[in-house]
Amino acid sequence: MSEYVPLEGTLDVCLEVHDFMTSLEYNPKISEATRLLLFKEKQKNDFFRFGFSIGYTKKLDLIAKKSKDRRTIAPRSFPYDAYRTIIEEEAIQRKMSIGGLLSAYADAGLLYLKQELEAGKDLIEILGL
Amino acid sequence: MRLNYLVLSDIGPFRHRHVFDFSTEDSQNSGFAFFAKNGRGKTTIYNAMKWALFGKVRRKSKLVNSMVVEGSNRPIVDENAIDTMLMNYDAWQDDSPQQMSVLFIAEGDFGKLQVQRTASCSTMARKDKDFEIELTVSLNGTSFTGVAAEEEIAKVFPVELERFFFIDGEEVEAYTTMMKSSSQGIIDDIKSILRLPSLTRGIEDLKSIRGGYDDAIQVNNQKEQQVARASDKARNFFGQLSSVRKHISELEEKVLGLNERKTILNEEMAGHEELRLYAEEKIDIEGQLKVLEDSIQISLETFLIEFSSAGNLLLWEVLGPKYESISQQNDANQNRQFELSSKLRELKNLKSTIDAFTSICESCGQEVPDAEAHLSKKKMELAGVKKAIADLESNGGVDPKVLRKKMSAIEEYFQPNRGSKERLIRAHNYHADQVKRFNDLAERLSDLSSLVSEDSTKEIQDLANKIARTDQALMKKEQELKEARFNEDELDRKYRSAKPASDDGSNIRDIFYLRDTIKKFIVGIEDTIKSYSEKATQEVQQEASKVFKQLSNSPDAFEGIRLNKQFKARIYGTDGRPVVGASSGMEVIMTLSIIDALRTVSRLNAPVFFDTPARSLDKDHKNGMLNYFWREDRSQFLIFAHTGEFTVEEILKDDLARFNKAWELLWPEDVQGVSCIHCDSIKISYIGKGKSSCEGCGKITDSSQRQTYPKEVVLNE
Repeated sequence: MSEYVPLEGTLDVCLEVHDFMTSLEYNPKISEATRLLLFKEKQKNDFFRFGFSIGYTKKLDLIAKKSKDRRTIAPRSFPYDAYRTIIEEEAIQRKMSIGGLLSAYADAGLLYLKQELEAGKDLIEILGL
Repeated sequence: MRLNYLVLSDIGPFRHRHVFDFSTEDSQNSGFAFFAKNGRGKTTIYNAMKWALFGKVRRKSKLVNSMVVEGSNRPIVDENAIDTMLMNYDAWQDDSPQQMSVLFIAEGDFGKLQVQRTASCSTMARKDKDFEIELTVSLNGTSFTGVAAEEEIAKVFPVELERFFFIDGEEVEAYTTMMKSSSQGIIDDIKSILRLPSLTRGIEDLKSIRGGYDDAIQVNNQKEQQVARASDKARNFFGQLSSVRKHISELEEKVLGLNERKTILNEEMAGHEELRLYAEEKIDIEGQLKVLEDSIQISLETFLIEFSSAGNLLLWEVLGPKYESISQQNDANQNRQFELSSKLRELKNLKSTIDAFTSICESCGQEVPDAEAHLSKKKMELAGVKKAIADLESNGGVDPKVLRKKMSAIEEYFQPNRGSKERLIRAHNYHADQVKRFNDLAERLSDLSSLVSEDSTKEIQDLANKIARTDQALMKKEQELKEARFNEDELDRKYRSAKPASDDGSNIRDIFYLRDTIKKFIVGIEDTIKSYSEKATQEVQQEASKVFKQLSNSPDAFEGIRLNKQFKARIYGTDGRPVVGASSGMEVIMTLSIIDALRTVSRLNAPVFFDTPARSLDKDHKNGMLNYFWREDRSQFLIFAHTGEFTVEEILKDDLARFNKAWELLWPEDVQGVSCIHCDSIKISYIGKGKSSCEGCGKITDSSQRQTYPKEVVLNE
């Protein structure tokens, strides 16, 4: 029996998460420094990995794997192999690509963060650091 | 001046005290004579007067190259010069204390004068310095001693006139030579008697004073140059000082203006007092917010940098244990691999041992007793090793390469840096605090904005800005003013230091005036001297000619004596020509005539002491001289005649002169066998050994004694 080998797959997030990410990006020219900002602009790749970390570590329930309205995260220089060492087994079990599984966790994690922040919780508290 | 008494004590041949009385009722007769042989004390009396007056007696002068060379001082005592010493030898040898004294009493225009000079020594004197000299002068009852006494004598009898009142016949010839050659010595003497030295000294003194003023003027000129330089320097400082003071004045005006402006602004600000606090707070908050914006910007960027590790920090919660597990698996794999390698080497060695086994001992070469048993044991060991290898190989687990790849991936991409969590939390909290503070201030600002309108705020702010700017400008100007005043003090100090002391010039003007006056004095005195000298010379010439004609034994043959400007004297005949080949006696008379003329011109009325007056004169000239000097209208005239010149008998017999008084100076041997030296009694008897006894006075006289006894001559009435 030939073993399933997960593909790299696409990195993407749903529109809501994408908007959420954008709202937390810092652009010195337009951003008000007094509001919550988490990443500098054009660093959605890092933001995506942060979202995955939330979802993965909090073992959040994965939302529907694919929605029609999604925004791709540029995969350039994304360390698929490194993530493969972490989630390959689960990807095989779920029969998902690495990118797909990562995207699902990132969506979940960032939506969780969004809801928690909207609930007025402190960032550090939300992250449990 | 008329001499009344002369008292000699232990001087020369005069032992003990001897009094000569010159006082007389016949004031018209001024002639006095002393007759004696050599050594009897004629010159001693002559010298005693000199010593009393001037404190010294010189040996006779010598003529060297037509110059009179003064003799040295005669000592009071001197073992090596007994003949010339002044003190009586017996008194020096026998007395204690030793004492020599001369006293005279005189009178004149000045009044009554008594002079006593005494040399005394309580021990045996060897030299003059052993004596204490005491001079006492009493003038009209007022006593003087020491220098004051010398000064009083000088007023009555100036020492420079000594030569013209104390005439030594032995020196007349030398004097004559000088007069004929017009030597400097005679010029000086003649000038002395004309009192020219005092005038000349006066000129020299005035020239010296003028020199002092010249020096003072020169010093003043130098001082003026220094003052000029100092003035330039001071002027320069003063210029700087003026400039600084002008600047200070300007600054003071500006400070005043700024203070006024500040007052006005403060008053204006007081009108907004109610809103001012709010406005100021608002302005302050706005300032703080502005600062905070920048600060938040920085803290945000720091936070974003630190937040980039947040994902890994979260993920490490899960991956951390997994990484530990993988690491342990990896370690176990490595241990197993090490043990497997070890067993494989052991297997290889056992196989080699078994293959090479023989029954001979490798060590001793002997047959091994249990060779088979040993081989069997080795084979069992080999089987054990094979089994262990099989077990190790069967428990291989995950491929070590896979494990290491996983570990490397986790380490590289997911393992957070040490301390990154703490840094993230710290950066977050700091940023959050800043944001909170910003928001609080913004809220307060919002509240204030509702209280104070923007326009009011702007107005107050503008006012506050104006006040601040005014304060700033005021501080700046006040600092400038302070520095300028310091500079002013410094320049003022330099100016005062450089500025020369004020001098109205009156002092130097006085000096110029005095110098010019002295110049005029000098010119006047020089003219006076010249005029006086010419007049006095003329007068001396006339007087000397008159005397000469009286003394001459052929007065009709001579016009008289002429003196040229250098006081060179010549006898002129009545034909108006100089006499050629004048006799020595005639020349001596010429000299005496000039001396007498000079004395007359000097107007000093003092006794004339003439020692050995007739030396070098023939009988006619001697008689003429005596006749002239003993004339009734002149001052006292004392001659000290040697018996070779005049004898008492000769003078009395020929009535050559009319003496007022005369004395013979005698030693005992001079009257030996004739009369008593003490009382003139002729009742004497010789008692042997040169001694004779007097029946009149009872005294015994030793004719070998060389002590002088004055004997007054009984003159014809």
